[in-house]
Amino acid sequence: MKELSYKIEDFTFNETKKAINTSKLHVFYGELEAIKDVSITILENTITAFIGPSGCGKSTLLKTFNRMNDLVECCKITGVVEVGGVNIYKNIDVSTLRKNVGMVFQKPNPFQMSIYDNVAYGPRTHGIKKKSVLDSIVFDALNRAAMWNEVKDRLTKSAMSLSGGQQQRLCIARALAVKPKILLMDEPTSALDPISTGHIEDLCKELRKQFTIVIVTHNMQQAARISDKTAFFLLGDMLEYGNTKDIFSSPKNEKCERYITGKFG
Amino acid sequence: MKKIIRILSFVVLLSLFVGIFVGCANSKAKIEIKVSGSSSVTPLMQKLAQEYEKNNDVTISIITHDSGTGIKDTQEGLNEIGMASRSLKSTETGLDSVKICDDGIALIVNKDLSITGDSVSGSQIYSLYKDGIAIEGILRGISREASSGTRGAFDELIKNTEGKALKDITAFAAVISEQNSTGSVKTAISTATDTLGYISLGSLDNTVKALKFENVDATAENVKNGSYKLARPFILVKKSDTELSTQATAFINFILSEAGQAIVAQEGYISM
Amino acid sequence: MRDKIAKYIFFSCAIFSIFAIFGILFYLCNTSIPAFREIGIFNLLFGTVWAPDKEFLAPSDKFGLLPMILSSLCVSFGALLVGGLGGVFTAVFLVRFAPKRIKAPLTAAINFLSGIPSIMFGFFGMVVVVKLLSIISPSGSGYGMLACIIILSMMILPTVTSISKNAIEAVPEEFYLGALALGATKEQAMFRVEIPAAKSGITAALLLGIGRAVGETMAIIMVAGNRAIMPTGLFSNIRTLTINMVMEMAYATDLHKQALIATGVVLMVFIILLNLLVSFYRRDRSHIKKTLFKRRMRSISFHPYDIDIDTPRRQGQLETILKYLAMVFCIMSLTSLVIIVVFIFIKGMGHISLDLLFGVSGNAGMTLRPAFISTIMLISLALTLALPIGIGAAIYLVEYSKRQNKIIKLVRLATEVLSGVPSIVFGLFGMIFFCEILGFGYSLLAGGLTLALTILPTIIRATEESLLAVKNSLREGSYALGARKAQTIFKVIIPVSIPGIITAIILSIGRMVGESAALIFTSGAVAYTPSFYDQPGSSFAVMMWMFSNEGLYINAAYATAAVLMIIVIVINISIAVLDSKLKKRRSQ
Repeated sequence: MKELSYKIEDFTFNETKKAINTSKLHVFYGELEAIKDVSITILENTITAFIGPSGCGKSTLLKTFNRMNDLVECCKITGVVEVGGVNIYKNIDVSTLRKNVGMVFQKPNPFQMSIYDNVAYGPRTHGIKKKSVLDSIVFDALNRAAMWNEVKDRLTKSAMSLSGGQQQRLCIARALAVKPKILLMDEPTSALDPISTGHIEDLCKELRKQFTIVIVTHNMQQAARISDKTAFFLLGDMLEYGNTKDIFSSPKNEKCERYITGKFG
Repeated sequence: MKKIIRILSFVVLLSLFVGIFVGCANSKAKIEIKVSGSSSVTPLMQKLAQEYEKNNDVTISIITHDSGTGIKDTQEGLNEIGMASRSLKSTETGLDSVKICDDGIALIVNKDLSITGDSVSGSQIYSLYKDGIAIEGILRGISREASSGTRGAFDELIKNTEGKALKDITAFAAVISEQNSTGSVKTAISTATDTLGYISLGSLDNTVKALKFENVDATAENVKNGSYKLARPFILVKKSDTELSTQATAFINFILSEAGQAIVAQEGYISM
Repeated sequence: MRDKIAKYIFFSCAIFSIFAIFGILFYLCNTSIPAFREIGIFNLLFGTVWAPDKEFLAPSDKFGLLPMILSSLCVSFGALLVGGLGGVFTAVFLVRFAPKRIKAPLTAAINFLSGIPSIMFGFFGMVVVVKLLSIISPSGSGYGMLACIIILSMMILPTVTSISKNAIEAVPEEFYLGALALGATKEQAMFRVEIPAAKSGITAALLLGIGRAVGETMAIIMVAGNRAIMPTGLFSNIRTLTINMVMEMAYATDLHKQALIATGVVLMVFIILLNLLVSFYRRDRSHIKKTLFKRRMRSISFHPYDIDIDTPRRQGQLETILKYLAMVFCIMSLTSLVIIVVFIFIKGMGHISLDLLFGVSGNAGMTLRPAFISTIMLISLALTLALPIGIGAAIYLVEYSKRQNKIIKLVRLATEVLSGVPSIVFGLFGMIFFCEILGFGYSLLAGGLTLALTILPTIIRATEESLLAVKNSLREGSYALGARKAQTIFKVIIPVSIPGIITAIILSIGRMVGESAALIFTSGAVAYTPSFYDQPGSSFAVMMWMFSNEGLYINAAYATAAVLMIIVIVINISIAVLDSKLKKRRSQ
């Protein structure tokens, strides 16, 4: 694989092994406190699942990791969020942060352009213009997203012509194309059928080798299947965080147990 | 999508370019005289300008409005020469005027309408416009907008038996409506068989019928010999404190010359 | 760095637009203050005599606007009753009851009606409507209020139809199917379920219709009779606020001029009230329940359980009647379209000649050559100015400003108000500001600038709306890849909103092609072909006005109308083609 010609700002990951670290994090939407005093450490090259009933703050927490909350006007944040050891709410270039921390959304949101342009959008944004470099990035990203063979003959066709599952994998490929260190996934399979979901889960396991993945999901089996660590949230509090195996076999928190076993939520 | 943006900006630029290019190609850098004002004077002015342009390298652009506007334009410097179809009012100051001809005001009705002797008198018209009193089959009348020179002259010339003029009444009767151009008056008259209107004698044609005023035919000779009383001057005005360009002066001189006055007579107006 | 430059460019566009918009509002209000002061607010608004030329009257006695205010209210209300309701019913018919095969051509035909320039309606009204009305008029004259209402109804019907149609079609299909599943008839589903659901859209359509009726000038000036007297009946002479301005503004000076500007301000207050009504309506849905229409809908009994298999048609007779009413309205609007088109083509086609189209135009004889050139020059100037500034301002308002900001809300309201203000008000402003104060005189420059101001609010609003319609997920997607704001806007957001922007451009072009009132007073009315922007020039509609003005070239005027109509048809077809092409591209 060719070297990327753009320079990635150095977030140091190796020494600490901590990809993301928050302490005493509070997030407010106007009056509402959506995240209450959450301190969590997410390790490198793991898949961490956030579970919990709707409105518990897991998506909000996810969005603080790449500062997507900035787009919400009334959002206020206190506490510390460190990505790769850098406090991302202090004097940092948001664009560089987001290049390092990619995100995949609940509903597939391909841009209204060709498949190729969708994947090349990120690298182009960061200044890569050379056709040969772009070609190899697009190939690599689509390959990793396991859809190169499906789309290699129709790269110039509109991304809107793909099926829902393909669109979502395209969005993942698009996120991979900027070579992030961390990948945030916000219920990436909730709008998809079981087969597409399977594809994406396989993809996650594959990607874990190079990336740190944080995934928000409503699907207990999915969390159990693919994640290494699981955090359970309720009404803005993180009630339990630990190895997925432990949480699903012997949860310490009573509410967490009831949620996992399907008794409430 | 990019293509569309490109096409779009191309079209805009192209049209701008075409606009300027076509415009420029059309111009031969002629000297231009701007004339504006009365729509009654406009047809005559166009004929005079047409003749004058044949022998002189100028363009005379004539902007059609009404007398009031022509006079105001001159005062504010929007034109070089203003046209009016009435004499200046005492309130209209700072202007020099020159009379170029006289014009009658024709009283017109629908071709299918006849009244006794096809003649009306000043007091009959006065009562029609003031109180809505019908003149046989004529039940209603048409006036022009307040700034029309034709209306100004008409309101001044139509008097009742005591010598009170129409311009001194506060409001017309309910049967009077207003139209804001000679064309609208003619169209209105040609579609209604019970209405009286008035237009410039020079604009009279066979779509409508002219009535006699006090038993005198509305013709250029009768205006000239003074027997047809509904007449007013056509005047040109300029600002007192600025000099006209040589071309504009020459044009006015042409109008007042024998050749110019011949055109005036030929078009049905009353030469001097 | 690039990001900042883009932001400043958008910001300056926004500032310029805000400056222009508030400038006009402020200037007009400010200049009319002396009139209100000298004449007195009460005398001005409630005086019944308007006689500016009577020098023997005191100012407080001769500048009364009440006849004009009442006339405007009456004709607008009448047009709303006939054209507005007619439009809604036509839309109902088109959406549910029209046979599939004729639905598309019908819709196209009605859209086409909205593209006919107003001056053409004026001709039609004078020669056909007034003549027909004079037969039934007790006084024997067809001029006056009823003629105005008929013409205005024809003019607002297509607008109301197409917007109501969109509103009804936006109601989810499930509503309709749900009602049918409960045993309602097709008619009941339409009138009891779909219309109430589409109510806010329909209301907006009606209010837009009133706005257009209040602002119309050149069409009704030919049929109104135009006397400034209190309206007394359907055949009474009337003069609306807009007619009052167009009849006198060219020559008015001093207090008279200020009184005319005050007329414009009153007109603007009308539009502001209408806008407030719309926003009030949108916010307070409980208010909707009080409307007459809803109450009538309520009073229809609808008992799904009572429907007897043997007599399924007993329920919903009223709805069936309404359905036939819708059909009648649709046929009526279609007939009026056919009549007016046939009228213009019969009168005009025979007189179109190569010489009339492209011959040398001058004092020797007028042709349409200057109209082609002036129209293109005017439109290109207006678009080159208004398009980038309007789009830039809209981008700033949507993408950069905070949505809840009070100032931004005010700007949005002002833009909305200004996009509803009749062009004659812009004409008045343009004449005073560009021609007189800046000294451009009668010129294409002044005309083009005036047109640019006229279409600016429309472009801002339409662009804003299409930007707001872009899904937020696309913005998020782009930002999440580390793209900056400017990149996101140019590469992701604008391409998606292009169809909306193109529609806005085409609508503005249509408006400019048909514009006459504002141009007569800014770019002048001349026979000569302009060579540059400092010269006067007549656009199509103005040329038509000139042809008809002295009554000497009426045939040429009809021919111009026919040419104009052909242009409108071409524009309409190109909209349709462009639209379907874009749709195809998107689905590829």
